[in-house]
Amino acid sequence: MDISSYFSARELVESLGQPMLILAFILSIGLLLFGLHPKLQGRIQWLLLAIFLVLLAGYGLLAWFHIQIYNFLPLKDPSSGTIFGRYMIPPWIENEKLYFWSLLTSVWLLLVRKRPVQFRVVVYSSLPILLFLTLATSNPFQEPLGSFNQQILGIEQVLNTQDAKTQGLVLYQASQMLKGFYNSAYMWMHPPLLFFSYSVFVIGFFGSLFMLFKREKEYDEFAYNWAKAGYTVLTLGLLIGYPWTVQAWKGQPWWFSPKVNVTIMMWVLYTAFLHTRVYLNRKGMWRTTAILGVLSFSAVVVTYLGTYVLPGIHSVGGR
Amino acid sequence: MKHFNFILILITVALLGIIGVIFIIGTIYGSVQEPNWTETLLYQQYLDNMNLGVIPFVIALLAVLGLCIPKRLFSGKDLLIINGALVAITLILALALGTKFGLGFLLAVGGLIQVVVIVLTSFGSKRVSFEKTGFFVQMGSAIIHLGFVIFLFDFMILADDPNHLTVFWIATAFITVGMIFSFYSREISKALQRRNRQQLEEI
Repeated sequence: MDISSYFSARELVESLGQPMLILAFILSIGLLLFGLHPKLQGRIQWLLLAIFLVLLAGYGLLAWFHIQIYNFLPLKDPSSGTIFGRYMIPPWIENEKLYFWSLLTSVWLLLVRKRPVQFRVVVYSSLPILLFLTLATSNPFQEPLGSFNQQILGIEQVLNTQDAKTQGLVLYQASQMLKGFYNSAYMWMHPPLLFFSYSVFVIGFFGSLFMLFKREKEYDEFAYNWAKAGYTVLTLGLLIGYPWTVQAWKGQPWWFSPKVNVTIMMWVLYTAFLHTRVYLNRKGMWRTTAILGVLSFSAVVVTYLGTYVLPGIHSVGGR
Repeated sequence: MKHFNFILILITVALLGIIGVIFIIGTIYGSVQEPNWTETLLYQQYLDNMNLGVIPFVIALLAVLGLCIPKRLFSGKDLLIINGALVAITLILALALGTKFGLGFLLAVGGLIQVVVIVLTSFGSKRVSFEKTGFFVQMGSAIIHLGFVIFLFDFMILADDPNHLTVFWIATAFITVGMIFSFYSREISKALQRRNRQQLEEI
């Protein structure tokens, strides 16, 4: 392990990434100002593009950091020096999740065109909210990959101070974590699909919200178009998680765990939302559909927060 | 017939809503427990209670799904007779051999009917009826429902079978393809029309 090179890369991510995130947040507030000012409204797409590029550059930095982890932190057999594993960590774990979500949302916002300005400004407000939450609660540039870093420090300490037997045991545990979690195909597919769907649902939510108060067909169609895209990806993402769950959590209490409960609730609500739309022309169905659209998105928020606050096997803040 | 379809949709939405509420209750209950409660007997009790609460509604949902499928092929009196017979046989099997077996039968029959629906739809048969018009939207709807029937059958009946995950991936493929067909039917049709036009122009 070239731990000093790893630390240098980590410091660089911290020093360059923080200003990028702050800049993206400040620019995102500008979205609201541009939207409210008639003379600046025409340039809002450029501002959106600028925010997206800043966020993309930040994400590129995170991706570079992950590549450095792959290069500098190989797992080696201490006696023979043979490399038996390298970390291929997907760039949406730990405190990178919300940033990844924000980045995807910024892409979708670029597509929200030809809508009333008032509506667009409200939809745009999702980005400063997401970026504020990223800065305040889940900043990927502040102590990047904290839990992973702790593990690496632990391994490094054992390799420097302990006997061969303890070293072997710790490296075995690390290799298991590498295969079963960090490098698993599941981690490369399940979380990004879910974050993709969450970011799409953010946009669709505003359609349901406006439909509830303004009752115009345009808003319902807007909500539906975004929800159907999110639902397709969400369903695929959830299904992909199942085989991993069966293997990794065999014999463990995962079924009906709070996080699984809220996730199914979210899927069930979106299923109900899409079903009610089949009979949208029936009396009062537009309201039911709009309410379900708002409730479904509330379930997305609860599901995301559930990872941190709910107990259980699927939670990072779990007990 | 339209009225019957609408009622089935309302029942589906109501059942989904009730299941959602039960999951909220379960989540709140699980969140206020002592640390490591999943390692205690209390957790087993919680699982039993959740099963007790959710299973009747899941069974009802499966029954509705089972009733939804024949409506594509049958209407009026025939539909009532078919659905009545399906419910009766399911109940008899459930009482005689267990709920799992009864539902397994309902899902297996539902799956077979759905395969017939897909075949007839692909040949453009007038015998099948859908709420929406358009080839891809109808095929998509039929494929999604077949996917869910296979998924549920696999989850309930084949959970310990060595082919469990293979069947699961087949169901996943059906669900995904069905959703793309159903949700993006207009786009797919347009793309195909454009391609056909280009081919004709080349000729």
